[in-house]
Amino acid sequence: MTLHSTLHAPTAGIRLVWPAAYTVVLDPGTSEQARIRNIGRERCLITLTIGLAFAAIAILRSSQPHDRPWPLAAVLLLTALAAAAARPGRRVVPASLVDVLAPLRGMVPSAPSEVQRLVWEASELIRTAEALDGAPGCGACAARVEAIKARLRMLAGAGAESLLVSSRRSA
Amino acid sequence: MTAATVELDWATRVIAHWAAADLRSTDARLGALSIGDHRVEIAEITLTASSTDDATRLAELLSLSPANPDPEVHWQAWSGWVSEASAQYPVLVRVAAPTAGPEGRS
Repeated sequence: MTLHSTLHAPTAGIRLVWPAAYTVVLDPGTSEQARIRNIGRERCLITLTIGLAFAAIAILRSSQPHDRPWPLAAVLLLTALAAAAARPGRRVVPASLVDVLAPLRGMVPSAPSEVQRLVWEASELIRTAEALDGAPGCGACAARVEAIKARLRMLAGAGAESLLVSSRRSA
Repeated sequence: MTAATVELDWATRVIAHWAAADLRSTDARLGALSIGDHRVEIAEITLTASSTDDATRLAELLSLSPANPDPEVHWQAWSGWVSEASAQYPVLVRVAAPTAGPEGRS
């Protein structure tokens, strides 16, 4: 997957995973409050993970090979990994869905909550359909994915339009 | 390789570089442990080394205990709890490496 098929729309819980260059959607939870909490938790834990990893590297770099404080550096690295593990649930967004959401590149979606919930649902349906390749498909699932894509096209377009309107107003 | 392990590729590189061990992948995820009626959420970190020499080096650095070898399984594992790694979850660290066959030869 290349950067062309990636997307970063953090307000809708959709983010580019760097440097792996793929897109994930965070678990939207069962309420708007849970969704906002998950996005905040993700941001906080990523910052913690990066900070701890850099601290571990700095400690190891600043010490002599024969006198490396390995236990401290190892604990910092393991803490960084534990923070990474504690991040909210995520699903990889298939490329076909990223293409639908392309208008959101660099723009704020008008209904981030709905976008996140739909992307979360469709990602799982598409992944399941791919896993069942060759087996009898789920007709209802394919129809649902198409319905979600149509709705996302509308929401992504609306997001782009509302941003254009707001930028024209501010100009 | 899963998306989670690709995402933690940086950790694989950092640990492999500083521990001078050939590391294949790093995985970190939340799991659960059932103790009687209680269910305890834990963080599981799994480091997969290329050979038992590399795994032994890592296990010594992290003070992990070796699991009883199973002749049926061509993998050797070390594991241990690292309480300093998180105040929120108990952290279980596992190091594994292939012991036999083409995969086990370093």
